[in-house]
Amino acid sequence: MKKNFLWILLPVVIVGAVVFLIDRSRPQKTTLAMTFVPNVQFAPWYVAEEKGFFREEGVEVEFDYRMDIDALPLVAAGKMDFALAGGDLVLTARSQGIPVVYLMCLYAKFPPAVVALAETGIHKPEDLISRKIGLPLYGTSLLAMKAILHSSGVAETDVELVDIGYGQIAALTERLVDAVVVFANNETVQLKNMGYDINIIPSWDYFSLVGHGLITGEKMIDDAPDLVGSMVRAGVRGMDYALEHPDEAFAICLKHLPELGEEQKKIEKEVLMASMEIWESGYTRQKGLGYSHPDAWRESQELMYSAGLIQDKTSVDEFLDLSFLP
Amino acid sequence: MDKKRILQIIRRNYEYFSLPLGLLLFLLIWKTAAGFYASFILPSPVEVGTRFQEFQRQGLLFRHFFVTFLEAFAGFCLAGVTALPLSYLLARNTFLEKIFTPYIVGLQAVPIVALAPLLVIWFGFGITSKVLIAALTAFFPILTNGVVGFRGTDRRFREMMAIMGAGRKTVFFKLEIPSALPVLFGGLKMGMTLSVIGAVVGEFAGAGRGLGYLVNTARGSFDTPLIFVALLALAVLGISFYLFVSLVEYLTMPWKRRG
Amino acid sequence: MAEPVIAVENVTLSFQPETPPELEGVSFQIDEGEIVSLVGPSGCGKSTLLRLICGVLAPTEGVIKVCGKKAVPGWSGLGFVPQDSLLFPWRTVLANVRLPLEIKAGGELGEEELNRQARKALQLVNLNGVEDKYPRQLSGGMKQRAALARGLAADTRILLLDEPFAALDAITRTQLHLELLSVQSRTRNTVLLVTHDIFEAVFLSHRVVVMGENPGRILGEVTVDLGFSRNSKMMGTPEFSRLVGEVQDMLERGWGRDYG
Repeated sequence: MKKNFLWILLPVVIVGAVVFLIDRSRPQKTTLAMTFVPNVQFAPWYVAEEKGFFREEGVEVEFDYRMDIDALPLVAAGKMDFALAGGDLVLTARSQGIPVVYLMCLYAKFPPAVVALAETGIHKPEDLISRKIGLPLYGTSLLAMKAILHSSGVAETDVELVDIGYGQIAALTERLVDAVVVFANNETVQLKNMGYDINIIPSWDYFSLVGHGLITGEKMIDDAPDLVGSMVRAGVRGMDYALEHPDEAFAICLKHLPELGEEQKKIEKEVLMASMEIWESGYTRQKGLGYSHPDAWRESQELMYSAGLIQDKTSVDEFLDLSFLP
Repeated sequence: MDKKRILQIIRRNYEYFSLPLGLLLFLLIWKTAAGFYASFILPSPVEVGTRFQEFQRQGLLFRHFFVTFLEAFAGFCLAGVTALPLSYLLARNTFLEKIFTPYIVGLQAVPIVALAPLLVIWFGFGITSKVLIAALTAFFPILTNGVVGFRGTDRRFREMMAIMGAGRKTVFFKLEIPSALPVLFGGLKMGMTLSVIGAVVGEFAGAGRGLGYLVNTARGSFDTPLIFVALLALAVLGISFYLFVSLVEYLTMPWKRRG
Repeated sequence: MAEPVIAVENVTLSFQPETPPELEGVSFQIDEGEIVSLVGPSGCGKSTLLRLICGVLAPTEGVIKVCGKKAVPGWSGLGFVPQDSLLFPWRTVLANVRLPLEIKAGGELGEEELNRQARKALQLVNLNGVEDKYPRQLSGGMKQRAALARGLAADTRILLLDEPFAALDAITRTQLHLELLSVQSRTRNTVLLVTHDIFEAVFLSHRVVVMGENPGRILGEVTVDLGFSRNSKMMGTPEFSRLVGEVQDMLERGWGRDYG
């Protein structure tokens, strides 16, 4: 009787051990939510995947696309592992007590800029008085708008802000508004390529706020610090590689953008080059890619608070975790 | 009053008790579910109530409510005024129907969410584009029901009218319209509630005011209780529209009243 | 000799060419003030014949004359009572009854006058107290009375009835038989009644026209000389039975059998 029992037990143990071992060597799966739709701006992660940086860390990443304001709560609630979101969004979330953590910075310079057709004669913030400005009335773009107005002493009541979602280009070219707020590395390139003569008022001339970066939920830091470290390291390597091999990086991006026509490919290449310019700043050249200065965060928070965008301030070390950066 | 009497009263008038009881049950389920989630995912009824009071005090809620109400109502009227006559034409004339149907079906198949941004670009960010989007959304159920209603005139009634010597105009006013009313109202009820959806979709595509716009701005500041306030306001708007059409239906069709 | 009020002359009707005709070579006449019944099996085309007389159908061959003129729809003075009352559900009883009046003279007569005449018709058929009710609130018998009132409303001279009592129970039917006779004795209308009930036909009419089927044709006529002032007791008399038998014989010969 005992002998029979052993004969049944042995294969079970063997199979169990094999499965366990195989499972150990299989990479950990995780998801990264990137904003809206595939875009060359996500190059570091496309590169990290293609060049095997994730694989080397034992991680398999699935790319997800959705609005940052939808991804952030999911990440904070632990329903999603990682996402990309703007620094201002992190500050807004934290002011509502939402437990997100900012790990690594993509845009060392704050991307939004005010753009107007040259014919409007708008060159500086003061020219915006009594004009109509179109922008998505939330998040990064709204913050930039308020910050630009605030730091140049123009009252918000002196301008007319209109919510146009992500239809900035059409709104500007159809002259439905006088100026729009767009990302300096993206829509400006497109407008120039369409042959429009434009004036740009970049936000980094007026203040230094923190731009988009990699975020995760507080729980992830506690439960899976190894995974977090892997993601951050692979991401930084991706940035590094892309900066050194821009053409190859672009080719890798194209794999995620099969619908692009020839004309658009040229434009997107320029967008990538413009984006890479803002991955670096004086500070990142000092400390390394992905670093953001806690003071820049404090300044951002202060600005948002005095502009009435947030009602509560949080201590920076509660949500800024640079410990995973190389 | 003892327990038996109370139960008796409730049983006899259960219709009147069902609405508040249903509401209570809904709130109970909500409160329980909210206990399992952080307030930025699913706020509790109390949190939403507090946020509502706060927002109300700022006097903004009514402004947004009124804008969406206007957009939806105007859109609905526009849809009705265009769809009803067209439905009669299509019901009575098979030749026209064969020509128009492919275009109508095609247009109906295009999701309004995809068309809305285009309409906002063409017609601006003001109320016009929202009215058009709402009208477009309400148009098809009104049209479809109109065609069914006008087509469904009983042949025997038509013959009766002919025997009585009725001319085309008389047949239209005294037979075709009253005969089609029940089905028409079904379409109008659908159209009325859909027009609210249309208005909100329009606001999502680009607006400066309205309940849909409010949902968006609340999303952007992670103010989930405010999202719920806006959603509940939208529900109230939809329900009141529905009740309005039902009232008109009740008054217009006395022969359908119970008892 | 006065012109017949209804004259059907050699009428043939084929709904589609190359198909066997619905009606073939049908001829008969009705004089003023007569009550004539058209009896035949289901599907023999007697209802179709009524519709031809109403003018809503046109014969393929032959001619139908009403008061000497070709039959056209909406002929003034012609009232029709269908089998299913066909009252408009969205109108009250009063509104239904005055509908023919509205159509014929709505512009000239005022609201009050229309209602007055409609009420008169309702009184004729002895339907009281329901004028503000809707059809769905009425019983079958009441609905048929209302339909009858509608048929009589607009100065009707010729009343056409298409199996009007078929859907009613026997007791209500007898009530309405008597009602119809009473009405006709007062108004002296011409009446053409289509029915499949031989007893009803004999009881109500001066004459019974018998039809056969495949194709629809006239088999013969039976004159009912029982006089007028008829009552239900009459149905038990030997005279009545003899007449019913005559009609029955004609019908049986029509389908090629003699139960003799």
